Amino acid sequence: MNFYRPSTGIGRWCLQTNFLLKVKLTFVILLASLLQLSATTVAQKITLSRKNVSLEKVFLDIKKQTGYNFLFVTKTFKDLKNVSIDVRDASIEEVLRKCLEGKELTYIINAQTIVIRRSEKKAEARSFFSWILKGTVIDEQSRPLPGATIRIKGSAKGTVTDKDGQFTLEINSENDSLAVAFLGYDTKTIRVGNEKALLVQLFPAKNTALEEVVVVGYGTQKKTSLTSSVETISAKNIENRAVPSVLNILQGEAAGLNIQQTDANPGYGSTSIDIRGNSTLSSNPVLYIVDGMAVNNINYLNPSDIASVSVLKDASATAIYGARASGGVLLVTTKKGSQNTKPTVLYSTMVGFQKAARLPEFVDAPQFVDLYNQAQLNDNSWAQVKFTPELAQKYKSGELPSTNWLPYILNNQAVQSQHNLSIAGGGDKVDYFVSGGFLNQEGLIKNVNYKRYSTRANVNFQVSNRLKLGINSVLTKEDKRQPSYGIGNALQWSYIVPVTEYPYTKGGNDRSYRGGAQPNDIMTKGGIQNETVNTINTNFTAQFKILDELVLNGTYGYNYTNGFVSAFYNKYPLYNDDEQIVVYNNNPNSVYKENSATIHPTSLITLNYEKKLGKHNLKGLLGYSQEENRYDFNSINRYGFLNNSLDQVDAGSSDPTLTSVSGNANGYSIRSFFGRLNYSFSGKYLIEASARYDGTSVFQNKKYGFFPSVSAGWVASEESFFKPLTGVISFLKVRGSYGQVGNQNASGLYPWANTIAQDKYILNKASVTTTYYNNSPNPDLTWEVKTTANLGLDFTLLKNIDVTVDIFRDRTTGILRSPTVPSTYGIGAPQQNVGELQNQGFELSVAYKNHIGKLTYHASVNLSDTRNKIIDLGGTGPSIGDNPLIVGQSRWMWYGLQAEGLFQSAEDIASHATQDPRNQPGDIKFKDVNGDGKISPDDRVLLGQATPHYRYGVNLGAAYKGFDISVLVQGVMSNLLRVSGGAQVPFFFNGDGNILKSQLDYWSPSNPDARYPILRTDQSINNAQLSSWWLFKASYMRFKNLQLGYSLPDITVKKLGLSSLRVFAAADNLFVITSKNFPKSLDPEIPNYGDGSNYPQVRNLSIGLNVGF
Amino acid sequence: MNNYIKKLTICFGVALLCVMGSGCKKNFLDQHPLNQITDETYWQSADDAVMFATRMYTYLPQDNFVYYEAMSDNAISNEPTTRRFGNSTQDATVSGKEWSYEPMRQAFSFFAHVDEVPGMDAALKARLTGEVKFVLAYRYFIMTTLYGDIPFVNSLITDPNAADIPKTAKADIVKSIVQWLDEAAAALPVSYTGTDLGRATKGAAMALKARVFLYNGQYAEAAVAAKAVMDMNVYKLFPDYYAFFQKDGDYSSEDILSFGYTLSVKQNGLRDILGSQALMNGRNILNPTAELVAAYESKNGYYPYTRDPAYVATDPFNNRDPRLRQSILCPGDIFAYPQFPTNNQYDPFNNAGDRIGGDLGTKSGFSWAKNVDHYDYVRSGTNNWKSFRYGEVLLNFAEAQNETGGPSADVIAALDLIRTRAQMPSVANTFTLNGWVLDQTTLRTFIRHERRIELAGEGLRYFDVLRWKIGDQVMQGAIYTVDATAGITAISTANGRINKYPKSVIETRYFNNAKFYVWPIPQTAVDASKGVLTQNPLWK
Repeated sequence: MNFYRPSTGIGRWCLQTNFLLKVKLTFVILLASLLQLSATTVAQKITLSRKNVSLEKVFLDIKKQTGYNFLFVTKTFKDLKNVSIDVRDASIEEVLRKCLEGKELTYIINAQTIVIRRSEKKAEARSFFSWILKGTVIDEQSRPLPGATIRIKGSAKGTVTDKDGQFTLEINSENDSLAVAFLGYDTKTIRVGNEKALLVQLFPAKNTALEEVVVVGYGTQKKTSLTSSVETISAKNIENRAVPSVLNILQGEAAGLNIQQTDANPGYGSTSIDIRGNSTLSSNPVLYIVDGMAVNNINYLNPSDIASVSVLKDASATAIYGARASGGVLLVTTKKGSQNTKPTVLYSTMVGFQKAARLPEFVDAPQFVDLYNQAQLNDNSWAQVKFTPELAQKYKSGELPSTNWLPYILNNQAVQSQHNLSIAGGGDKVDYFVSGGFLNQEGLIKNVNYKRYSTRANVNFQVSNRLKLGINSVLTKEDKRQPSYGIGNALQWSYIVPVTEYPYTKGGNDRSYRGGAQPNDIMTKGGIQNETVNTINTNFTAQFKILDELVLNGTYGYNYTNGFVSAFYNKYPLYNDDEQIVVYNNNPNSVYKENSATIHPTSLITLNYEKKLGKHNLKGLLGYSQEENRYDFNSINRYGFLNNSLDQVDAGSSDPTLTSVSGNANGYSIRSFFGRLNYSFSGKYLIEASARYDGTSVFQNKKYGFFPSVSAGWVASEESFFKPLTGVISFLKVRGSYGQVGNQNASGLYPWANTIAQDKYILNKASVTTTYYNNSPNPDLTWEVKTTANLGLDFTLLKNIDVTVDIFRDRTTGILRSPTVPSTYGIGAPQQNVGELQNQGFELSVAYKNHIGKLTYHASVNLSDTRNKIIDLGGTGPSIGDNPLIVGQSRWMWYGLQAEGLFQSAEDIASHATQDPRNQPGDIKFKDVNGDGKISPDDRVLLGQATPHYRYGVNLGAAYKGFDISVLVQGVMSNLLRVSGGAQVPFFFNGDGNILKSQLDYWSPSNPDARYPILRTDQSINNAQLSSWWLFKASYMRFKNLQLGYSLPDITVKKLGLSSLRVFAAADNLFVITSKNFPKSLDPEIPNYGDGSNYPQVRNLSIGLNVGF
Repeated sequence: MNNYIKKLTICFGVALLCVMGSGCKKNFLDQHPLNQITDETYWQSADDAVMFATRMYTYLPQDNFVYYEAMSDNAISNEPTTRRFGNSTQDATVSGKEWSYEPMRQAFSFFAHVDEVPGMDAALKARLTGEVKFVLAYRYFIMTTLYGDIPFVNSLITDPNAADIPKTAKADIVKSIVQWLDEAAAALPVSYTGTDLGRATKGAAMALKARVFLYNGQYAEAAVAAKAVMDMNVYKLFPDYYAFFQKDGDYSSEDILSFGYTLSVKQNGLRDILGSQALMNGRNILNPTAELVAAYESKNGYYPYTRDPAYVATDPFNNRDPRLRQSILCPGDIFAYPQFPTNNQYDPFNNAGDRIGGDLGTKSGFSWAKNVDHYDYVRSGTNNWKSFRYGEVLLNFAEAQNETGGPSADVIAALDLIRTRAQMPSVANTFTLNGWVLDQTTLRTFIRHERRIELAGEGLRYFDVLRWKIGDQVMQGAIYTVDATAGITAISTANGRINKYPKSVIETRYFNNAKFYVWPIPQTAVDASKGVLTQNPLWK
């Protein structure tokens, strides 16, 4: 952007490029001289005496004396006469006026920059009633600022600067004031006067966070006037990430937004998400709203289309979404164009190389044979070991191979690339944002691939002064490929098949292991599953201005998702070492086809009112919405194909018993009325009330629920008594909210329905259809209600540190449970609204932003935690298991035996409570909690929290000249992870799987303090059961993203015919630091009971390019 | 231009009103299950009522009723729960087998809805109601028989909180059972044809009534009820005892009511439960006891069979009541199982699959032949489970009439029908042969024995043990394997095979307490009740 450059030579002041000629508005030469040196030494009075010198010289002198920078917006100075000047202690205006006298030049002083431009010729200047004002908006480093909004105060008229920071606006009155705003910058108000050209310089807001406009339910609000708990994540934090899914990008970005990526399988990976933890015993998923419309998921979204994401946390923010909001709301807003702006074309691309962040590492065969023999002898000291000395020797000498199975499962390299192109802009009557994106993620695992094609068009038409129509439409196609033997857990094969096996027979045939497949064949020969998911979301919007303050909005949205799965299971032979076919895998071969579709139409009407009367500010909203959801599914399996070359159903066997089909459908509908009232006085006292009246088809007799909320805030820093403190605390707001939201997630969509199922009976040796009631309906079932109280504090310390603190407590009542009914009822227990759970927690976020000269930097930290407690199980408990439900305890707890260590000797075992079966030194010693002399399930105790706690995220960034760097770190401080299977004990599968290197720290007389018990192949013994021994501390800190960018200087960019160009390198998931004893081959985010064999988290090193045209 | 905009604006307004208008349809929030019909749209035609009533038959005894046999002295089972009942170690955690009010809920749902069916044919409605009442009566009969006094649900309970009701005396429930059966008998036809074959008939209702009275010791009423079935002149014994329990006997003249099975849709699990592993690929879950085998008379009617002058210790299973080997596979039996032409000798001493004590082998040395389908080679069979048959009615009549009036011609005649079909000597000849005097007591003994033999393997012996209160006599002490200490000559000793097996103990039974005559109320049911439903006194 810097196409001016510091210069002391007058001759180089005037720079002219062909590019600038293209700019219709005016010829602009932006020159600055020496300005960077003295920005802090601005003096107001000038003493100057010069005779017949060039204007440039005079300006140079002024600059020296005052520290003002000069900017020239004119073609050339060559035709200007020299000037003479003699002033003493004159003001700068006075000096400039004298200098420019009779020269058809005018000046503007803006902050520390003086802009000199030619006076407009009178003829083209103005009509009597209106004239065209031209202007330029620049940033603190005097670079043009595209996308800044200019609004004539008190009217709806306004515009947005183009990519050169320029705008034109029709002005009707000299008394008009312009408000010039740009996100993250202080808004500047300027009286137009009789200016025809303006230069406006904006400076970064001291208080950027608080100046933000935040998207809330059915509207927007300034962060300063917010009384509820809402956190916003901006596009900046979402763009340029080599992470395909929006949810995974959001991890660590907001306090209270709890995201855990348990599996990274492309297109299928699982990510758990909640807002503010667990507040029910059933499930209350997060409600996703995209551009005002509820959607079932947001995987289809192209992250680069997103303008912002708002996380609605407390009842005051979510109650407007009523009955589905108890799990919190995630509001996604996509990018839009602006009227009267030139098209901005942006292209961005990234190419990255993926590697598994962590992979299991196994002991090789020479070591394995000894360990395995040892384990067998540990089980049974007279055992016949599997590897005889001769056989073991063959492995040690290399005569028999040691097989690392991972290369047969994993690809050598996995490239991920993405391309995004967008055009945003607008004319008099139209604004638009259109984009196209393509993502191709190759799998770490063979035959895995994910492609996403997406297009979006957000277009609005100003039909008349009062009516605006728009369309907001997205089409996404996702292509997912997987090996058809199963999705995920491919790495489990590397645990199962011992390193002493080998992939091929001498004859080169696929070898069979224990009469089954091996990784080498199952990954590549077992067949492929392809899935295509098409998502079409189209919203038609209309805005009608009934009065200036009263606007009617209507939206009709149609969401459609269609999925098609096609999988083929290849039949292929497996051989033994004598080259004989042992078995055919997938015999008979088969095909699976599946079609599914979801449609979700929504109609939404809102009436918005906004009025300012003196210090009173009133905003109102009334709305009506209705939604329907319909899901259809059908599938076909057919077996018995002649060979593996055709995968269409009709090519399979015609035997009707070799075909199976299934199909089903369901639907629900929701109708809602809602409203909100905001009132603020003097910007200090804020109050808001909202409510939603929601009806759903899921319930019968109690279809409608009412969900109100109130909130209030007090901006203490606006009070006069606070003024002395503003040096330290420049902003302080206290807010509180209280309200209710609901949860309609009953098990099944028709819990009220007395359904009739079909059965068969045989009469006269033939089948007849019979029917019976198979459901235990409860027509009186209704919403779970969550009541939340939230207290929040927003303040700004030392002008640069923004702090937000929230504490909350919620209580969910009427949780759906199925309390036992008397057996005489004659059918299972219906669901009833009986359970009760309390959840409380805090969120803290601190953001700091500053600059040292041209080095700008920022840092932000968020930290949150929640704790819940079961208040009432409604007569359904307690249920005892690994994760018990016990009144007074948390929803997710570990419950099992308390390990006291490892037995060290036979005497140790003899003197301890009896542990059956067959304990020996090196086995885990459990605590005899009830003191009955034996270890039994009765000795189980609560072992700790089964969910992560104290989640945090850290964002760091800095920019200097064209360089920028950013770092995102995310983690949890406390977690107890239950691993299982081969990740817990070695030789897990059939007692002869592999052993991880991390498991080499096993007990032996010489290693008494081992992390792992004595080696065993027999898993029936106590060691494997749930005990505190196997709850790994799994806190972690993950370096999620590191980005290093360089923006080329404007002058270079313009020469290339571009408007901006940034190159960057990024590393996603660079490394992760885990608790001390956590196995280094496991990812700390794997789900409980995971064994590390799921699709590993991806480390992606990529380079990218952002180009603006 | 302005005009155009105005028009557009108006259009928009109209469109908006349309959207709102259509949105405001009243039934917008009425969604219904799309895979399953609900009762709001059911009960539209007679077919709906027929299908619903027919489902009730699934609450009648089916193949797994055979497990009751292992709760008696006739058999022993591997199935854990029945085994516990067999050796009297049951408790309230395993006694839920017959505790179910689901049939009552479905039955009263039927009664509540059948009137909604528009234009329902009155005769059909009466018949279906009769069928449902029959099943309802059976369910209360089996539950009162086993649990004694139980809660009596006599209507459709819509509120789960109103379902917690106290027990009603068994005798009072029996009155309702009898009443339902009388109503059913009045409404049900004598027989069915075509696709209705297999439904409950008048005869079935009357046969159940006879059983209800008999089990409750109301002998006079039982005799009358059984006689009424006999006097219908609809039923007669199937000529071949063995074949009756195969699919040959399905819907035959002796089959009063049977649970339907067929190859293509639903097969029974009887081969799995009863069958020999080696001969029939069964799993030997339930085996006859050696004591049952020993109870069969000799072919000429000597009892015990060892009294027969022709008795040979090395050939104990020949020269016996033919029903022995029509019911039970004995060591050395040649059983022409068509699917296994080369392996047709039952040999629990040598054959790997059936070997005594083997994984899937027999426990006693015996296996079942009765009720094991020998037509189709599938794990399971296609023969119906005969829950009510004329042979039982005759025995019920004989017992009830003898208890009421002692030996009489019609009692002897009924028993002789059974004896004749079994190709056994008449009652008179048997008494003479064994030197017994025909009086009420001797005849009672004879009838009880005849019931045990004739009904062996049908699950009914357990109920006889309970009502005769003979548990402490017959289900006490050791259960033995076959006694082949002398060797079985039918089994060749060539190739090193053995033909001897020492009598050894399988398990020991302890029926030593009156409480075993009535089952404990299932603990889950007691727990689910808020103190209203109390445990049976002896099980507290």
